[in-house]
Amino acid sequence: MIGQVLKLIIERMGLDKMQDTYKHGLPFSESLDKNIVELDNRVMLKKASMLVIDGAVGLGKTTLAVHCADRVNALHGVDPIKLELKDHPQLAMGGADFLKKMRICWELNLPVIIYDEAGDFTKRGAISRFNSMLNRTFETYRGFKILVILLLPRFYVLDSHLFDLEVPRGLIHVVDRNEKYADFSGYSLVSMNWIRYWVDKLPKAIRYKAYDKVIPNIRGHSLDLDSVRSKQLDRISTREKIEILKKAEVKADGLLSYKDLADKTSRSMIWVKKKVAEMKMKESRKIGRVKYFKEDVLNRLVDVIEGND
Amino acid sequence: MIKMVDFNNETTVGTPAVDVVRILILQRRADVIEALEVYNKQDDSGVDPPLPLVKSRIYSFFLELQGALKRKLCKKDKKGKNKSNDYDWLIKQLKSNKFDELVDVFLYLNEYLDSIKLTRIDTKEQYDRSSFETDNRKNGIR
Repeated sequence: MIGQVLKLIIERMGLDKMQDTYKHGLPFSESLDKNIVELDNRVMLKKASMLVIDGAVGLGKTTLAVHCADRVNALHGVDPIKLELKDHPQLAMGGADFLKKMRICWELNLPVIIYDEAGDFTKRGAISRFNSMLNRTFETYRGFKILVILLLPRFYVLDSHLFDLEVPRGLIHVVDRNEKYADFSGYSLVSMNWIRYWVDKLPKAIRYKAYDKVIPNIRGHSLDLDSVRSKQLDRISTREKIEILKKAEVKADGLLSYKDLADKTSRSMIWVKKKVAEMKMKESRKIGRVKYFKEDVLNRLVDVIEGND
Repeated sequence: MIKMVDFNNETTVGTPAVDVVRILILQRRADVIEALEVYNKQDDSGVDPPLPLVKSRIYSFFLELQGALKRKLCKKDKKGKNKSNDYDWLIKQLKSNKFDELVDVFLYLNEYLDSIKLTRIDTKEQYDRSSFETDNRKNGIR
């Protein structure tokens, strides 16, 4: 009986809910908020700016990025970023998605975009492609007044050219997380450059210790998203990860898309699709709208080409 | 007494006079602090404290700075009056036999040394490091 009464009191007072914000009204430390406001001011002056959030897998980088983006939106009188499964223009997963959504954000006058690198780095040569894409983006989009929040495991894989252009202005390094909050350290561009110096000096196996060599400019905590948005984010994140896994499976099985077949046969995709339809060859798997075929389809196409030649 | 300048040493002759004088000033200052330590220790122990020692060392400290102080403090305005009465005040206080008044003289001289940056130690620019942009700007990143 007493237990039931206590439970009712706790529920009525909202004590059973996880804390959504701190006393100052934000879900992260004020020290970070000050820097977000300064970065936003800088972007409004058309100075290309990027906030990098790095840290190990599952520590809450995306959650923190969403909080930061919500704050930037609020500074411009815009609602918190959308996290619907099919409508999240300010959260880009992967390079191609980022470029597309950068343009959408500019068209919709949205002041911030999150680029979650996701599994971009799993492919060979991906880091250099990623870096050249970022360089091109910032050279082109600096006048667009959009703050980019970049998420990746370790910031020091970024190209030195970006640092020469002084585009990354700060780093939030997520250190750890428990069920209630995540801990982070914040570094200015000056501090990031010192970390990069130590990364070069230390043996490869202990490069992560470079962060310990530099005193952070700020330290802070951030809370989780509310349960609704947290679930929305999980769905987006899970979907992306499943897509990545499926694509990895496809590659492991040696399956080929229309584009792969076109590349390997040095023919156009229109020709490949036409021939596949004529020969009534069925796809082995379909992921999203992309069809994947077994290698013998390639062999049959090559036979057709050689027969024609 | 702590000896920092040895006038019997050949290397002292080769040292610029302004550096020798600076070191002598620091030496006198250290001597005054030592005398104040002895005074406070004996006073707290119930023994007669050495006021003559404190007085003579403060006077020696003043003598090292006397020329600069007179030049700085005895500037006259357009009407021929002294802009400051501090020099006269110092001379009067140095004749006092009261410990607190002698300490006031020492504090005045100490603050003078800080104002001319001879004893200033906190010269690094202080700024708000918790601001990324301030830290970047102060280190040459625009």
